[in-house]
Amino acid sequence: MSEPLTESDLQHPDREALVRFMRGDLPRYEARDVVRHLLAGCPSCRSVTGAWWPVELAAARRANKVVSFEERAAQHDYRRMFERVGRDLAAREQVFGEERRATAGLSAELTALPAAERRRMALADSRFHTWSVVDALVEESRALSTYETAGAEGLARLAIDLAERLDEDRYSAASTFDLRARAHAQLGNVLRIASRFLDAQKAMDTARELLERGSGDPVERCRFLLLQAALHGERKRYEEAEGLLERVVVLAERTGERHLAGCALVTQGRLVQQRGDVDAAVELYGRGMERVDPSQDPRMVLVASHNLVHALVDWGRYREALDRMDEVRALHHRLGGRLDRVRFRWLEGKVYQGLGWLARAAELYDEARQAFVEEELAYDAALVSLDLATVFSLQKKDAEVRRLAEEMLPIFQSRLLHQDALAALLFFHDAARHEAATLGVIYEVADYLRRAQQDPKLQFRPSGQ
Amino acid sequence: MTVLDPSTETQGLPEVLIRVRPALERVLGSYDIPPEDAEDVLQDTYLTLLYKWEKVQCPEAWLIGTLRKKCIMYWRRKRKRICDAVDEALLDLITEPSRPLQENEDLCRDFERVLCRLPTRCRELLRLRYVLGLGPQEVAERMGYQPSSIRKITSRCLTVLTRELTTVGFLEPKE
Repeated sequence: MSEPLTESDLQHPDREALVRFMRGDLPRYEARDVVRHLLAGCPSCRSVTGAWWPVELAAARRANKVVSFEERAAQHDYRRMFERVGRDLAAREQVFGEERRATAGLSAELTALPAAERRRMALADSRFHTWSVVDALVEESRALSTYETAGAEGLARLAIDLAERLDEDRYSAASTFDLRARAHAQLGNVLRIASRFLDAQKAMDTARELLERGSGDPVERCRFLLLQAALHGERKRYEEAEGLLERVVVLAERTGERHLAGCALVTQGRLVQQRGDVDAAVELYGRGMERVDPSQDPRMVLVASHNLVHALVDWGRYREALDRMDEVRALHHRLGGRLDRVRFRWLEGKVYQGLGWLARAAELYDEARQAFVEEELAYDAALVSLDLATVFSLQKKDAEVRRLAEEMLPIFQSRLLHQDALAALLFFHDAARHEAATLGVIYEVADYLRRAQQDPKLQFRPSGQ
Repeated sequence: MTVLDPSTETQGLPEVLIRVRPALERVLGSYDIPPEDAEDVLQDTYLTLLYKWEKVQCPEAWLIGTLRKKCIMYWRRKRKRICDAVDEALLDLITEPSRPLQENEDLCRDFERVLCRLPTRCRELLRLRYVLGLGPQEVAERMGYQPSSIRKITSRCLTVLTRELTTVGFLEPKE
């Protein structure tokens, strides 16, 4: 290899050009000459450019920031700047206050219209192109997400379109990127709830890109990560989901956002419960519930309380589960939807079964079973039917097990259960017909259905065959 | 109970800003943000808080956290500008058609000497990009990276290269 050039071989760029290059201000053709010169390894020029790279500054060590010696040496005086920004903010606060006050009327005007008309009007009329209206639409979409996904999707899409019309000079570009990111993330969440996972991920990818150009708001980031983790969870990417949730907990605690940390812990509890780590789930739910603020997200309190009881049941701690039932029942009455309440009946049945109160358990299972059949939720109906069969089997009511199996089959044949799930139910049906539906058979079929619900490609292989 | 809990009193935006200002000054100072640029950084942060006031539980912690993040982003953008300039310059240099053969050889030699100082994967990637002139998708294919992640990986390698070019200078590789 030939020797690098010495000082005397080189024609140095002038110092100003080097500084401008490091500031990113040098025209392209001049930058090319500087790079060519630096490639030759000129020691004196790199001592100039090197001064613009980071030295170990404790607070910014990980930022890899570029900073000049001159700037570093200077004593920054921010006083005037703070005063100017403060004055500007006071003026903007007043304007924004007026905008906020107008929002309730504008929102009411919009929601009174049919969806298509609402959209046409909102896009055409600049009165609706404000931060507060977009924010309100996102919140409205969020509130509808669990109950009416189509409506929630329409609102999220409208929020996205309106957010693109926001005036960046009025609100600051970074803030508008944040809001656009939130609208896309909300759309992603609605699509996740509707089980359209690929579309949901696309929306989340867009949200992430926008967020990277946003204000750096840690709360916004936490909210995004929570939704992304929920989507990863649905797509069985549990490790990634848990990694994100751990980040949310750290970030939220650091920023004083206990509620968000609580939401992350509850979501994490659900994930670890799904993979069977029940004691970790109980601990996470407990920590989550200490932090979740009911005034911010009452449903999260309901979810955490319900799932905690569920985890206690999975763990066999029925007495503790029973102690919490009244509280959870009250929450369901106040906050739950119809299906939530059906699931609670099912859970109650599990608690009573665990405590040996079989007749009451059978009543509750039957009630839940009928509701799931009406709602055409085939897997849930099959699973609660098998719980009911367990109770009948414990009560030595073989005829009831047979009757149940015979009732189940035509219902599930007409629903969209996949082939192997039907094969599992047929297996149970045959066993019941021959009075051979032991607890072992019932548990085996139930366990398969539970796993097949997460993995529709899973094949049914009965033991002993 | 007659004792008061200081954390429960509701405070408006102006009071919060007055109280948190010394901490914000320290953040700006510790990140060496020049005052002329700090104004934009701070204004963005304040405005974002104004719009999200109702959603933020602890405005003081939020302001400090957000400003810190914005300072990091500020320097990251600056760094990116330098890296982009190096990238453009290298692409210009290798595609310049009229350069004499000897100069081309010198350029390749100098470039190789820089690459020798870099981690192997970066070296390979940058060689594909600048010596063979491959596009990002081709580079991803050759190196077995996901097309979706190639932009980030290239950007990381370019940062390493730029730092090597502009700070360390060249020591001959150890035998």
